[in-house]
Parts: sequence; structure tokens; C-alpha cells
Amino acid sequence: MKTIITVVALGLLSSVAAAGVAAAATPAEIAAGEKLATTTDQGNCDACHMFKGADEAGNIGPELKDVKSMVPNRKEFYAIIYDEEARNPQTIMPAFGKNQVLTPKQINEVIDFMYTK
Amino acid sequence: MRLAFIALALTVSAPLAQAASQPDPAADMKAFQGYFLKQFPKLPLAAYVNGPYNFSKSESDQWKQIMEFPPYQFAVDDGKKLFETKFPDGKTYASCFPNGGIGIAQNYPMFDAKTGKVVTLGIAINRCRVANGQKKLKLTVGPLADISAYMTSTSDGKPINVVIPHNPKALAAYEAGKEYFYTRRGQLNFSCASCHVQAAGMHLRGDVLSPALGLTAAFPLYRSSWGDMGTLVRRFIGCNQKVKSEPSKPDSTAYRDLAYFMTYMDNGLPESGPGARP
Amino acid sequence: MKRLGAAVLLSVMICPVVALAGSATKASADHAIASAQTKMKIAASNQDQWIATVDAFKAAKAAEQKGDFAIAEAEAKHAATLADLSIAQAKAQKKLWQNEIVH
Ligand code: HEC
Repeated sequence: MKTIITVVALGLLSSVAAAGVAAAATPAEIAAGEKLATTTDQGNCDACHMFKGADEAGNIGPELKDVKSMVPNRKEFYAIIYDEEARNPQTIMPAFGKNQVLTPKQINEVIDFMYTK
Repeated sequence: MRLAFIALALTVSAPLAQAASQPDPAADMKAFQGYFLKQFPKLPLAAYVNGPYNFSKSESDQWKQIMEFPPYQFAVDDGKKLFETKFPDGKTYASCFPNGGIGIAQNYPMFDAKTGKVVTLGIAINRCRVANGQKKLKLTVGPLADISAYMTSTSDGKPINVVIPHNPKALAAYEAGKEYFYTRRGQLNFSCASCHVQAAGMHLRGDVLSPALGLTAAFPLYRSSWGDMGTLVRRFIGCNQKVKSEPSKPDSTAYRDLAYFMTYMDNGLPESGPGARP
Repeated sequence: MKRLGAAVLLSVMICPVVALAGSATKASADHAIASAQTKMKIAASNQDQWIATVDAFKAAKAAEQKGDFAIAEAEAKHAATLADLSIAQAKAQKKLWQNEIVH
């Protein structure tokens, strides 16, 4: 229930997010997120982060495990992927949203996928 | 009140800004090498020329095997032939370099006071060609990489010895190279330092990230993933593309200055090109 | 048809105004291309041209040649947006690079 409220609130807050997360993540969204997270010229998360199912993952960033307790707040998770540098100027995490590497919809798909890890 | 505060801030920051704008390459180099020696206390200075092999047992085992028949040997042999072939005017490359081009690669890049520009070994080879009525060669791959491989092989083990003369243009070139190295760019917003300082020794996917110290020492080198020899600028282009940034031109001032800064940081390390990498 | 769909989707995502415009002409596409080009020159002079900017620009030019002015305009505006982002990045870095220096 709480997640639904959060999700709906998020959808209202950010018009672009509405399409992606109006309901609980569908298998299609999760699959899309997985593809983004592991495709070199897209999200490419596994170049730096280890997570289950990643092939030849890097270890520059923290391992992504039990992500729901790592970043329980979906909005915060979105902000980390969107522009972590705004929160932590020293980070080397790319600003996937701000620099338009990923669209808001794609970021949400990556989150959907990561919440299964 | 607020104005006074700003004025105070200005007076405080002014001397700092001045200090920062006064380039001190020797102090930079000491700090740079000191940083890595502290970061990886088990690694002696000279070992940095081996780049990723310091951090991965499997890669270094593979390397030892590869080095029984060094993959760059063809390039050295071909480069020697090219180096000794006469230009139509009867001269050879030897006529363009101090000591006939033998045992001098460790002194490049060099600052050329006449043009006010940095000259890499590759650019010096092309200048020699032009001086003898020949076309320039590609600076990234092919015969020029082979000639560089041969010339570098004659400097094997000599301490890298890049000089930054007391010339405002030389110092400016050094500073520009330093700024390029530390500036984040590209859609992924990485600087060279993001990967080769902050993440040195870690894995980016399957690759171990070499520390910034020693990064230039084994060039030109044979990379299995290239399937042939490449010069330092070829690597610059590849690393720019990794961060989704358009590379500069191989003979651009940006790349010359970058090579000048980076190779100066490696001063004192043994010249170890040509090299081989996974 | 599929490309048109993609372009509309792209413009909806990036710049809703473009989608509403709908009536792109050669003149409006050329204007967007010229404006992107100006920005890209600035980005290049800052040694910070993004590959995606160049890709979008090339797509704009190709569409313009074919007479697909809506796509041309959307792609050119995308290129301009990316160029703006890279220029802002380069500007900020003029100071920030010093934070990364090894001491
Ligand atoms: C996204 C991370 C990343 C960034 C940013 C990056 N590089 Fe690299 N670089 C690599 C990887 C991966 C390799 C191959 C493995 C290795 O040797 O480090 C490499 C290798 C190199 C090498 C060859 C080292 C050797 O011994 O074979 C040089 C030289 C180099 N990079 C220079 C640069 C320069 C200059 C920049 C900035 C313009 C830069 N890199 C930015 C990831 C990066």
C-alpha cells in the first residue's frame, strides 16, 4: 500500500514518471530495465557495479544487492541515477538523467529491475 | 555588511588563486608519484610501467606467456627497416634527430621553442618526413607506430626524461595538459583521473584500471583487443570515446599538451615501450 | 513510418513544444540546424563535444536532405540541448577540475 502511494505521488510529482510507474512494475518493465542495466552503450551499470546475473561486472561502485533496503526510497534512487553529482560532488557516478543518457522512463525501468536484486 | 563579506572573501581568495596559477611541474610530479606510492605501498616506482598487470594475477600470467614471443616484435623489425630506408633525397630519419634517433625516445614529448608547441615522438617523425618531401603518416597506427616502436626499443630502460623549460609557453602547455587530464567531459562526465586515479586498480567491467602513474611508459603498444600496434594518441581517442566524448584530432594541441603533462608525471620511470596489453 | 513514430516519441520526451508545432518547414528545420551548429562550435572549442550531440546533428542533416523537416527539426533541437548541457559542464569544470588534482 505504502509503495503504491509513493509511486502515485511520484507519478504526480513528475509528469514524465507517470507512464512508467503508475502500477507495480510489470515483467516487461523489469526485463527492459535489465537490458538497460547490462547494455554497454546504455545504462551499463555492470561496468562498475556487481549484481546478481551480471556478466564480467566491475567493482568501482558498491555491489547492488538487496537494493530495496539499500535505497528504500524510490525517489532518492531516481535522484542517484538522475544526477548523483548534485548530491555528492566527488562521485564518479555519471548523471544518466541530467545528461540524457537515459530517459526518465528508462531510469524507472532500471529501478524496477534493481528492486528485484 | 554583505559587501564587506564579499570583499573579505576576495582578499582571502586572491593570493590563493595566484598561487594556483603559478605552475610548478616539479612539485606536481613529486606529489603525483608520492600519492600512488602511498596508495599502493607494495608497488615500487618502476613497476608502474606495467600498468594493469600489477593488479591481476590472471592477466599477468597471460602476459608472461605472451612475452615469450612479444607481439610487437614484428612492428619493431618493420619499424627498423622503415627507419633505415632512405628518402628520395638520400637522407634517412636519423638525420632529423639527435644521436641519429637512437636512445632518445625517453625525452619525448619535447617543447619546441620555435613553434611554441609540444612535439611528440610521432609528430617529430612526421616533421622529419615533411622536411624530406614526404607525406605525413597517420599518428595512431601503421608505419608510424612501427617506427616509434623501433625508436622506443632503442631507449629500453632509460629513465623517462621530459623537460619543461622556463618558457611561458612551455609552462602554459603543461598547465593545459594538466587541466585536460583532470577535467570531466563527455556525456558520462568522467575525467581521466576519475578512472585512472580515483578508481585505479579497480575493475571496469573486465579491465583493470591502470594507475595514472606509468600510463604513458609502454607506448607504443600492442593490444590484443586492437589486434595491432597503437600509439598513445590512439589510446587517448579510445578513452575519450569511453566517456561518450568526441575525440580530438590526433595532432591537436589538446592531445600534445595532455601527453606532455602525463609523460612528465612519469619522469624517472624506465622507458618500457613497446609494450603489450590484453 | 516507424522512424516518424520514433521521432515524435523523441520530441515528446525531450521537448513537448516540438511535438505541438507539428508544422515544421524547411525554414524552421534549417533554423534549428543552424542554431545547433552555433552551439556545437562553442562545445568543440571547450574540448567537450558529446558523441550523442554529433549523432543527433547528423540525423538532423540527413532528415533535412530527405525533406523530413519534422524529424530534422526535432533532431537539431536535441543536438542543441545536448550541446547546451556539454557547454554548461565545460563551464563548471573550469573551476571544478582543480578538486580532482592529486596532492
Ligand atoms: C571510464 C574509465 C576511463 C576513463 C575516464 C579514462 N580511461 Fe584510460 N583506460 C580505461 C581502461 C578500461 C583502460 C584499459 C585498461 C588499463 O590499462 O587501464 C585504459 C587505458 C588507458 C591507457 C593505457 C594504459 C596501459 O598501460 O595500457 C592510457 C594511456 C589511458 N587509458 C589514458 C587515459 C586518458 C588520457 C584519459 C582521459 C582523457 C583516460 N584514459 C580516461 C578507462 C578509462
